[in-house]
Amino acid sequence: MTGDEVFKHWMQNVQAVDLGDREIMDPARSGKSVGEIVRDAGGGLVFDTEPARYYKLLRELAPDVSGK
Amino acid sequence: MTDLPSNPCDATLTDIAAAIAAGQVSSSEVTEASIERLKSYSDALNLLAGIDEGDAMRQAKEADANPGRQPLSGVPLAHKDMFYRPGRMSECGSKIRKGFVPDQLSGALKRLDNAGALDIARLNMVEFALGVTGHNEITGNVRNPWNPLHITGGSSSASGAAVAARATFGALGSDTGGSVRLPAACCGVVGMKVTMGRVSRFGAMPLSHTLDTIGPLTRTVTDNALMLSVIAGYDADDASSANVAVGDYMRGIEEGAKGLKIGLPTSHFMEGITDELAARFQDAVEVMKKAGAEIVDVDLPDAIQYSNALTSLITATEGAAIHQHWMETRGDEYGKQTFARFAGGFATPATRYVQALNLRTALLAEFNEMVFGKVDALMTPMMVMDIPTIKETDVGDGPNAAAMLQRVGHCSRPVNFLGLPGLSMPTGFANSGLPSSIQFVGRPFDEATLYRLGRAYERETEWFKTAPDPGAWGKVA
Repeated sequence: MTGDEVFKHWMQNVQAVDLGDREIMDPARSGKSVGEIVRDAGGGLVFDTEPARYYKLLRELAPDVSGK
Repeated sequence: MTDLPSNPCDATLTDIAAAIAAGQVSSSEVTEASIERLKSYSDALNLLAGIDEGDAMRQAKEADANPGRQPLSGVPLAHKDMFYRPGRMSECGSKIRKGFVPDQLSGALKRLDNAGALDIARLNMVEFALGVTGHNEITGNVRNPWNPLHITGGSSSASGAAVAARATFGALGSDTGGSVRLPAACCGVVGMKVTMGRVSRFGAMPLSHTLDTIGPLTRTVTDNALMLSVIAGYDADDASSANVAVGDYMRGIEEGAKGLKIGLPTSHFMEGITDELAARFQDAVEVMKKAGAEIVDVDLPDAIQYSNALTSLITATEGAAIHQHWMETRGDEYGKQTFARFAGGFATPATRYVQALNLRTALLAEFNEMVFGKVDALMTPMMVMDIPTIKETDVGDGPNAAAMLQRVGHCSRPVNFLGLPGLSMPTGFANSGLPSSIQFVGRPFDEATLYRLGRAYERETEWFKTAPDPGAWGKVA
């Protein structure tokens, strides 16, 4: 497949299935676009001095196995 | 002495490990029986991606000649075909990786090797582990041992089917959006999706580096705890590995549910569930009450409703980044659904992808406060729909694909987005004759509490003692 063919393939097949004019994520529930879903979930307003805090938070929430 | 069944394959992992250690049965006898089962059952269930009988028996004879005292000495296991071993093919359920021979040893396999386990076969899987139903256009669909017309769940499809069929004592799977827990649920076995960072992902095929986890599928909760005890822990070769103490999963597993508080979600997880599965879930809740657990309702953050979609978004975007070159140069070698789902990732703006990832912190903090501020674990159904047939979910990249995938992953994907541990286990059978299931979700790195709850349920019910009937299978069409 050439690059053009690949692009056509995913534009035709994927937009029909998943993208729906970029409404890719949740057609079963709302047909929202990626941006709407991320915004509605609370994203886009993060002004965090510690962007990678997720992994740290996981570790912080771990039980103290030595005391269990 | 362990009371062994006539065919050693029918024993649990825990029992067969004890029997081999006691010299009651040899590793060679057990391995020979396991090879026979894997091969003969594969005709009907499409389990095997590859098996080297000579190498398997060589490993077994070596184990018999040098009996070890490790927890899995001489026990033959088989795993999803995505865990790399130098010099052995790892084809990831794909045409793209056909004949690929890695030079790395997977961190999880290394730990199993060190625990004395044998690695005797590669098990079929969904192409590149991207799929929750178990369909695979390239290598064929794996069949559900309880009814071969129905899906196994994916993506660790043959890991679930082989354990359920008593063809292997335990199998590694990977779970990015439910790929350990959904095959466990559909095949009636136990599957653990571990906390992000709990098990090394070094030398395992990548799909989505922020969501991928590796975990065991086994017949019983105790077997699962034993297997995770072996593979869990820090690995310097995996940059995302967490240096958090593992603890002893086996020590507290028989302590029962008394003193533990279980939360029932008031939103999301029960949405759209069938009446029959809702009733079966309520039955399981009653079992946990009888076992001594305190049950309370818990509210969840509103944003949990988006976690299914956000998990899909992140997986497609990270997967597309990995696969772009092959998609451009060898696009026709992908299955249609795999290609379409990865291709969706090309349309995700980078800013939205980063924002989706950043949401994990906020949602995890809120979820932790609302749920684990009140209870020790959340209890949910594992699936909200009846286990469908292969035919009715054979949607490829058609217009119903996205909705169907969302529905199958309704209860699994939120747990991946949060990065929490989730234990999937059987709760008997629906009217269809296919397994029903529940999920326990725990605090980060608190797999031990999930095993304790799971074992408490299992002790009251013992569904694991029921085996599928190979006489009803026929041949793969």
